[in-house]
Amino acid sequence: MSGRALRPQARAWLVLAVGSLGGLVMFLWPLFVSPPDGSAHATDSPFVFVLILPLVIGVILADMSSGSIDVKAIAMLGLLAGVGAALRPLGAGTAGLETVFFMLILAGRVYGPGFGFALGSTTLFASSLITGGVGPWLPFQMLAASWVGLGAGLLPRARGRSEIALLAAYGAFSALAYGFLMNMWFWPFAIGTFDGVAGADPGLQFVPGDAVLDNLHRFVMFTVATSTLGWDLGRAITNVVVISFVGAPVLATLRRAHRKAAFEPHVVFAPADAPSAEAATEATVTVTSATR
Amino acid sequence: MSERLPRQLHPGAWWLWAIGIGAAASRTTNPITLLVLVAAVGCVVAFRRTDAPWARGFSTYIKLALLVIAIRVVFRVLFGSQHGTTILFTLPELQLPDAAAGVRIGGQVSLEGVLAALYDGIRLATLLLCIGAANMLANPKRLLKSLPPAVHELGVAVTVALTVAPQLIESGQRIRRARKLRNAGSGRRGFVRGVAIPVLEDALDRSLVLAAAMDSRGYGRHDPQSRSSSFVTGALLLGGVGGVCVGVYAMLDGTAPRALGVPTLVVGCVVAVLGIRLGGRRVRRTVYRPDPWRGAEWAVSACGVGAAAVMFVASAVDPANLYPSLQPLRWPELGLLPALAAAIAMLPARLAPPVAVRPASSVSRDVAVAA
Amino acid sequence: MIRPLVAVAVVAASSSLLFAAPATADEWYDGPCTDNVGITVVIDFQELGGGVNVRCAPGPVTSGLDALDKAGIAWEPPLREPGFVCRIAGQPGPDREACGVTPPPSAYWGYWIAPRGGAWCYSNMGAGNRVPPPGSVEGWSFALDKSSTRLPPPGFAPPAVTPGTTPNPLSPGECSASASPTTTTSPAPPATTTTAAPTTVAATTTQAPGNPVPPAGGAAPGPTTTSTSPPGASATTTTTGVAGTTTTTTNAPTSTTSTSTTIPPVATTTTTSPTSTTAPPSSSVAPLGTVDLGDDQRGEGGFGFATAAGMAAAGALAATSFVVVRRRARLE
Repeated sequence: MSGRALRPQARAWLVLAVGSLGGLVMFLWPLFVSPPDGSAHATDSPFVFVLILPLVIGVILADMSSGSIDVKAIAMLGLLAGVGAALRPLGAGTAGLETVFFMLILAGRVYGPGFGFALGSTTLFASSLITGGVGPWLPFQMLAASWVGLGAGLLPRARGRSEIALLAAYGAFSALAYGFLMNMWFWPFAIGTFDGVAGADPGLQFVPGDAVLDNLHRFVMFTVATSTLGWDLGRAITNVVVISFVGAPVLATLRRAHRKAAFEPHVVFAPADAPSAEAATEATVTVTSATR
Repeated sequence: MSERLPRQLHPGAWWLWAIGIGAAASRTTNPITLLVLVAAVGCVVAFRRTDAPWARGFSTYIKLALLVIAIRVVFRVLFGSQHGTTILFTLPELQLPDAAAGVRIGGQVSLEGVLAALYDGIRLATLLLCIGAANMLANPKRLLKSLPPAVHELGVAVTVALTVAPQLIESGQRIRRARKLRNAGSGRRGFVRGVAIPVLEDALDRSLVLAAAMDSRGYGRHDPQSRSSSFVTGALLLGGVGGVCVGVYAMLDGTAPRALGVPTLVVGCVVAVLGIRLGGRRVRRTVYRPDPWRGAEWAVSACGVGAAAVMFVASAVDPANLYPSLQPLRWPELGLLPALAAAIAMLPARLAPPVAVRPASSVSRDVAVAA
Repeated sequence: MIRPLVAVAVVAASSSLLFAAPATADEWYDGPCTDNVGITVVIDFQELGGGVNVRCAPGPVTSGLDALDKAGIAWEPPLREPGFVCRIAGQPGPDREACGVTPPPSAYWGYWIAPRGGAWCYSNMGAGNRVPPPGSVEGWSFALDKSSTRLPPPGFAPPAVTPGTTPNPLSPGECSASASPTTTTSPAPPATTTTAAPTTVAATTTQAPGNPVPPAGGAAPGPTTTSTSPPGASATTTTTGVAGTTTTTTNAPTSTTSTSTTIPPVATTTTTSPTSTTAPPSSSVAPLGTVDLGDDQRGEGGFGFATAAGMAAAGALAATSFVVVRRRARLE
């Protein structure tokens, strides 16, 4: 397999890890929140997150592209994001994310985890701009889709049938995980927060400061009741079906393009007076410019 | 009013306006006021929306808003504890077992409860429609220009995606039409093999051509960062994101010391922003024809801010009108100050420059000019 | 599919609004209940101004909230929490508390319960979740900037046992934790207001906004006088004799009747004095509040001009946008 399309530095992986941790906390904030007094501010935090999460995503992406992301990778990223954005309105009913996901997973598988992460963000961003879906939910969608692409790139090696099966299973898992994260974040806004009245029945509302398991239990019932679980299951099933049927030819096409692109070696420009004893390794081609 | 040249307003101005209206709407639960605000926003969208494909989705937002209201009401009816003087009907009560979180379904349904859920839902729906209006009115491609240079490459990728996606859709439709004419196989299999894969291959081949073209124009070049600068950038980014992480967790968990919460978050954000700015130094770019920020932009932003300010004043002057009582039931009224806020919100329909309308024929061109 | 249902419901309800009679209780009366069946409801406005007001809700009631209704008291829940009491008789007003979500613990209505002839204790359950035993007493006392261990009970002693009956006790576990206030005045005729000198009561959850606070082990550092005396009472709580005691004055500009105009700034002092001070009811006049509890101070509300104008404005704007969109569509 030819080189990775996007090869972030080691430092970028660290930033990605820390940023993902912060993002995960922001997603699961209903489980973590335990205000010291009064729950009046329990639902204030997510408004802050809407502002902070784009910053976190920006930091991760900035560091990822600070190494060197060459023009071919940009073009490929843009095109694949365009394909995903074009596919999104095709999805019936819900936000059409099923059709975006399978593309994300397959491209992440072929091009690597870094590319998959960037592809998730750019696809969601571009498709939101196209369909006019920019809102406070967008940073959350971007980060969750980036994680899906990242995970697809980190899957173990496989070939042939087992690869399709692996990708289909990952498709189902990622659809459910995506739905879980998005619903968890939005849960207190959907039906309100339960404040106080002890002995009363909180129903399906989230109780700030309650035990994690209790809140989770209520959350699961909430997803069942609002049939978001149904949507997530539908998304998972769509992923599995599409990947099973379409996965092989699409993977072949992507791999062919990957070979043609020949992402490595990448070109390095050096000034004329640099000692050209710096041997050109097989990974780099040094071009010295005569004039500077 | 004299003829004004059509141009597109800076997207930031529309977003400021929409956020101002949203802030105004969040200060009241009076459904009449909120409905008037929504109608004002709809008016502005109707008058100043462009013909671009992303500007046509307002009906989707309206459907989403109605869905939000319906969910709230249904949830209150099914799961809410009802206590009101006007009982509408009584559902059979059902206490779910503990395995289902011990939820109680049903019981009495009171009008006050339903109306409370309705008021709440209408407020949320208004916020949603404000966001939708900003989406319809602000040109998203222009927003890309304000991305920081550190993510410049990814911004280019998004620009490519925005340009390519409509072309792909169109080529897909063309292929499908051609296949229909040839009476080729239809159905899922046919679509995938016959349409989707060729479109994908075409896109991927195009990407390499695009890459060559971009390369020849100088995209993807960047000044090599000195090691120290790269190190500092990395340290700032890592420190910033770590501070944000800690600050977020401390903010959520009330038992953490106060100093750890918001201050850490703020410091982390500042450091991260510094890192992004520093990292952007390696990219030298200029913006071609930046969007101007002229008087119309100031006016539109001022309308949004003004509406929020007027509503703020109203909440101090006559709060009872902004929060109509449900027990006992009272008809909500439209106060003077909220009406003023709605009127200010509607001003951009006139203040913003008109939108270029593609005339279909010469007759309609005259109509468009006169309008 | 839900939308038409909601629309029908709203139309039906709004038509019923025109004919609905106020669903007040039948024959509530001022003062504590004289029988062992009705629920005595005590409303202590504390710093809000309005004094202590007592009414009797007749007959068996189905919940604490039902008792409020049957006593003809106007109350309002927050928009999102229908089982919580946010406003009683219009206090605190919309300028202080919007009642969108449950009010913060720095200013909310605390729910106290007591059996006849007993003592106040802070209720463990919300008013909507308990059925008051017949003849018992329930009280609402506004807690402004009070810590959870120093919540003030209503400034009216639970009335004495009706002669010839046995008072129905509260269910076990209904009271929260420790000591209940030691009231001294006892079989005083209901006209007397006594300032209770409770020991600190550990307050737990219930009508407590926010998280359940673990009950502080209620030992009182000694009887403290709370700051809540109805403004009508003369400056009470004096601990006689022992040095170092201070008096809490609830400044009462007028001593007889309490007017709800000013919100008297409360001097909250609590003094610990070894001697239990129960203010001898120096004022034996009945300085009960005279607030009309059934009036929620929001004025008359009917389908007025403002409502119609608002609806008309919204409709006109919507019609305008519709027309413009149609015209634009026809041009393309």
